[in-house]
Amino acid sequence: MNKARMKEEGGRLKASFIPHPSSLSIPPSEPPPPVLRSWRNLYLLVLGALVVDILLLRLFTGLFS
Amino acid sequence: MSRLDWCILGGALAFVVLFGLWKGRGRKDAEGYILSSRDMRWYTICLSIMATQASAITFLSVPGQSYVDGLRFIQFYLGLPLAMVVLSVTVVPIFHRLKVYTAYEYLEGRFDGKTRTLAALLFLIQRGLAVGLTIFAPAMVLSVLLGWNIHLNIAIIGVLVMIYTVTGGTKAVSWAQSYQMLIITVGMVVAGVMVVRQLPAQVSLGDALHVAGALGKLKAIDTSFDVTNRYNLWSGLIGGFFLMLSYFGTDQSQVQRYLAGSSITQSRMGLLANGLLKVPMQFLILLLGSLVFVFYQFVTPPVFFNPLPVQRVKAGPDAAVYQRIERDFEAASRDKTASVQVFIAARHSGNAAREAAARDSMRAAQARTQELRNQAITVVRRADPSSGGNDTNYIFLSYVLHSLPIGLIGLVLAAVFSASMSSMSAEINALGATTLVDLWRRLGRKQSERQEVWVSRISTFAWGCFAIGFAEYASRLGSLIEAVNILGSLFYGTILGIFLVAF
Repeated sequence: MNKARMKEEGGRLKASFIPHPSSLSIPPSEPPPPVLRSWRNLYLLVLGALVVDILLLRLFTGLFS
Repeated sequence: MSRLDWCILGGALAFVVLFGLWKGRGRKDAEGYILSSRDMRWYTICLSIMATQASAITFLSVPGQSYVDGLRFIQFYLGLPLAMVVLSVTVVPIFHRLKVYTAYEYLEGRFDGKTRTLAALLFLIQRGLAVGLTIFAPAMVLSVLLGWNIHLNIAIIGVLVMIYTVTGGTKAVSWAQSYQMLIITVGMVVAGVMVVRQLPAQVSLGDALHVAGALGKLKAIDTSFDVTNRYNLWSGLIGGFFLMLSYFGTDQSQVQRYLAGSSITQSRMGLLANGLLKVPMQFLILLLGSLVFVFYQFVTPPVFFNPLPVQRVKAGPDAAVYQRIERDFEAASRDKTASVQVFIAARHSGNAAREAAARDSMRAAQARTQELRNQAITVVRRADPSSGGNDTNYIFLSYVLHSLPIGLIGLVLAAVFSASMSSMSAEINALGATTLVDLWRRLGRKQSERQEVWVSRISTFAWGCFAIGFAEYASRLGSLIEAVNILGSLFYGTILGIFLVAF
């Protein structure tokens, strides 16, 4: 059984079986923003920006110390 | 405060409330009220997430932190982009796929009802206590510096927030937060421009940065692996990552912001945009504090910025000691101003040896004023232990009130109020939703959608009243406030642990 079956019963969530998240179909069917082609590219962009931030902060520290 | 300042402050706050009411009108079902019918775009989600995290004390305290300690606090936020990526890959698609209203709802499916209730209760206790402090802390600073009645201040902020949050739910909160972020950004940018313009004519922005750097206020990155050092690259990346993972992944006040996304894509984009913008935003707020520090190299600052404990010192047995320190500090500050001007002139001359000598002289003058400030802090702490000898929350607002022109004071105060209101609105909104979904619904009563909206409104209203009541009482709690914060920190680890096992 691969799909989560959750249903409302008397205003209360009843889950007969929730699979481990790894069995949910991820990544989702929705496409990423077209300009970046894939979600992986977007994640790499955020992580790359973090590396650039750290390098710039390091440069800033050195420039004005 | 002039009449113009009052008009700007009042106008900005009135617009926020009316805008929130207008955007949040017509909520008829629980999904519409709690999750804005899942119709939010990524930019609204991003602004809403940022506004929820940035409370008023962030904007009061962070520049003060930089004034005292330099830019190294920025490292605390370096784990945030990592956490945003991990949450976008793991949590967002699962929560969206299961169409949950709260993060804790997922735990019942994964484990059982008891686990869900435990996590929800931990959140309600922790966030319920913290929301009171969200409005108490800035009200305290404003009451001390402006002489406003703290109780009236808390009541006004609380009631304004409740008007649009109780009526319009998440949609009202998110749209009001977008506008509040605009006010906050404009207020901070204007303050930054003004502090640079108020430097002496011969001092450029480059000179100001070199002065701040030479006096140790621009050390942003520390790569040493030192467990006794609270802020370094590694504590920021590792500790900051887990803290942000817990805050954004398990705290309903944040989870509810991105669950309102119209799709997985919109929620992910909102979180990732936050990951891109947060570090630069915090850097600029910290840089503002460093520039205020440079401003006070040319204008003698008070030796201690919080006037309340200073008044107590001057009314006690240490009055003569403190006044002697103040006189010495003023003389040392004048000497330091002269040494800073010599340093800038040496920089302009292009003579490296002269510049190095002037830098050493300026650092010696800074060490002398710092020593006198430390003496003043010791005296203050002795006379008023509850102050903790800490005045970082008062530094930026002191600069604003004493140095900004008419009109801009009202704008910056509107930014502080907006930050306070944006955090409180998201928090009571989340507390109300968790009370409905994770406690009320589990009682098993079958209710119509309209009835559920009213239950959610009533619980949001009740949490708002609790927050105002707690804030009104907080001034009498003293060191218990610290205990509340410690309690919250302990719960964070527990809740993150539960979710890590679930995922």
